[in-house]
Amino acid sequence: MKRSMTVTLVLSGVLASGCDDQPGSNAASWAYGDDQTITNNTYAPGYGYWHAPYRRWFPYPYNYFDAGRGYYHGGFYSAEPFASPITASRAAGLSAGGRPGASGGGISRGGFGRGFSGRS
Amino acid sequence: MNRVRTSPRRDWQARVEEVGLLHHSPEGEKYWDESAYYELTAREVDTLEKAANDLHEMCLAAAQHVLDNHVFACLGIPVEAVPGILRSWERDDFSLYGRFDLAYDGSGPPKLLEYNADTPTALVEAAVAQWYWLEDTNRHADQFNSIHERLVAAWKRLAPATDGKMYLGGVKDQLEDERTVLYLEDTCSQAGLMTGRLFIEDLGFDPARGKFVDLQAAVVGDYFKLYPWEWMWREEFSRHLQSDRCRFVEPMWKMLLSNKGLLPVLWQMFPDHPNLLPAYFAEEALRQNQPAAAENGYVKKPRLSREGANVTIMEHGAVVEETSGDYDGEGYIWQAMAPRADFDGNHPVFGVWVVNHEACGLGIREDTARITGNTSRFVPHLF
Repeated sequence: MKRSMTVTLVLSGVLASGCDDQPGSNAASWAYGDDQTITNNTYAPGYGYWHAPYRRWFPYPYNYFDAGRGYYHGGFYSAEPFASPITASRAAGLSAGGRPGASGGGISRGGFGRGFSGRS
Repeated sequence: MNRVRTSPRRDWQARVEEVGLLHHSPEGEKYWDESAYYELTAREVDTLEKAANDLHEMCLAAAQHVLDNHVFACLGIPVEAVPGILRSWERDDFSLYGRFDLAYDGSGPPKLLEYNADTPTALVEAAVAQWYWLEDTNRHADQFNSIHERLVAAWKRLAPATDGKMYLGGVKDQLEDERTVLYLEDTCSQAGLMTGRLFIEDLGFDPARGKFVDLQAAVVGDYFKLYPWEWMWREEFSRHLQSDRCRFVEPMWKMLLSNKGLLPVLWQMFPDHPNLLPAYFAEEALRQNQPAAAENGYVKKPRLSREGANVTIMEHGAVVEETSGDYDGEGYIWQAMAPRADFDGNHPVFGVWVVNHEACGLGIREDTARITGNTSRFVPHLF
């Protein structure tokens, strides 16, 4: 079988919702603050269950088992439960090492991007 | 293989725009062209798939050869990039995708023209627009195209190694780039990663933390860049690439593959391989070793050109076709001419997509000129 079974566009096509309250959204994270960790399967009404390795909310619990499809994690099903060492994660500022703007200035920009003349 | 003329869908512009292909008619010129399609056989698809998988393996072997023998200068790779390339290779840094451009007409074996291994585009049309075209027009036919689900699967493979968020970006004010990045963000999001868009011009560097940062000063730990490595190494922030402050996708080791200097290395390592064309670093070497090619035709290509720029076709000692561009300062390679596929005066190039190290899709571009450039039309296919 060479052909994709489905090509679903969530962001980039006409079906793009542009909403932040879809499954997989981080929109409920505001309620937890930048530095608060959320454990797997924490439930937020209207948003769903927190999947810590993915740092997002999903409509089903982490590693929820469906007899026909397997174990649900990160928006997908797999035959085995997803065994990630990450059982809790922060809702925001995940990679920041601090809140937005925490560096106190001195940040330089424009160091890349001056050579554009096409790609391949 | 046949090139089949057909009637475009009545609302084809709206249909391709609905699935994200807004750049279907740049400057009024037709780029997406569904007034024809290529009909392949299953055997031909298998042939293309196998050729791309074999070539990918050979390219990785050639990259190892370059590393083992320190012949980076042949590829025009700056010496300051070498340590980072070595580390990236040793770590086996994640690679998302690439596209082989192959000459093929369904008769002889596909021949490698080049490997767009760093910043390949024409992705939305290959992965999405032609898939929906098939759904609308020939839904019972097949298509060499599982690019979309392979991209999602590839991001899922990367996800556990990240801190959960992938930034993606290219340069500003380039519609095709924006659509490509948006589509890749879509696949990344569907894989469960948080995503953020960040133009490469907006990528910041915070000296206090020694980290690349986004516009809110959050650390950028993982960044998909639709921007070539060879340009990055010429620019101001290249000094921050010496230590591995950020995981870039594509990884730095892809500099070894996205370089036409690899073509002579491949020919040296795998002489007479059916999917290769004779290629050399010097014109005289080609003339001496390939007298038939010297007589019948060969191509002069810059090592680092893109979109068909600065390419010259020689036949019987004379220039028969050439393109202009800004890539004439990086050295050249000379490659024997591929057998010319001709369908009603159109010359197709077969772009076979490799995602997560595996061939998984095809996009065909054609032109009445013999050099495929950025205005060559994208024509869908089926089998």
